[in-house]
Amino acid sequence: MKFIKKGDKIVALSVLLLACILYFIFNFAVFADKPQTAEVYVDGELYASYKLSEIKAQKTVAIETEYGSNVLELTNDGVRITDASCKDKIDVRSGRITKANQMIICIPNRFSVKLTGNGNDVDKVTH
Amino acid sequence: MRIEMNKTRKISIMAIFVAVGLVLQYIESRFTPVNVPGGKLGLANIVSIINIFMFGGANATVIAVLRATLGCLMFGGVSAIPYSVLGALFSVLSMWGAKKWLYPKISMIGLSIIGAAVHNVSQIFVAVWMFSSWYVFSYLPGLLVIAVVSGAVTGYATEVFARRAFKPWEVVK
Repeated sequence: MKFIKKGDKIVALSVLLLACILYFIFNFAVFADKPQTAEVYVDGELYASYKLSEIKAQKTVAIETEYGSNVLELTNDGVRITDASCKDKIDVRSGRITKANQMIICIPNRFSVKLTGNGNDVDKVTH
Repeated sequence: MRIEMNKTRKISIMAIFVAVGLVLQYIESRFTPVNVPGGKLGLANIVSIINIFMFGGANATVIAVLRATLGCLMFGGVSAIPYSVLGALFSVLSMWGAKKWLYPKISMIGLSIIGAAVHNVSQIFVAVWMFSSWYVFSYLPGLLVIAVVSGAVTGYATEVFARRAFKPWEVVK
């Protein structure tokens, strides 16, 4: 540890501080609502949308596209990925999401699933 | 190591560094240590830092971009190209700037943390563009924490390597 200088500590602490600020912004401001729908995007475009309130107990959907396949498990309060064709399976390992605006992404398959809440959706980026 | 290098020798050594970077990138692609997309150790960053000191920022950028492109074509997958290439590009540019303006005040550990953090931030911007959604920014806090840890580890490795490989290291400044 003899190479560490004071400047290094300042750099490390400022990056960590930025991480904390972003974390709190997301968890207490952006991810506050209960989710209403789960939207599936493939290559940046809306592929499918599911109303969570209409789901009884559990629903499994396989999304197969030219980029690969992902299996969704939808419940009343959220969604998780149970299987994927990509090799790292990060989307499977990242677990269940249960708050509006949270998303799971799978980069190799250009796939993402996002929960949306009550209309206050600022996320209208044009492609 | 400001040894006299003619053009041919310089190009050959730079090509060797592209190969070394590729090997490190390959080793890294064999395992996924954390459950966050883009969270990784960044071993190839060691090569980039050494290159900035040996050949200057512009050449180091060329080496890193070549390495990232080839790495994706060989074992990363085509979808990873924009993430990997733009991540490598901005990461090296930021470390070049940090070396220019901050270097003796921060060590290679600080340089490496800056490079790792900028790498992740630029990848998040690529993801915003690819997924057309600003909410991918929610991955950034986790990625930044990983960047501090992995940046410190690779930066430390670089510092140790540099001191042993070229003595006295101070000549390189």
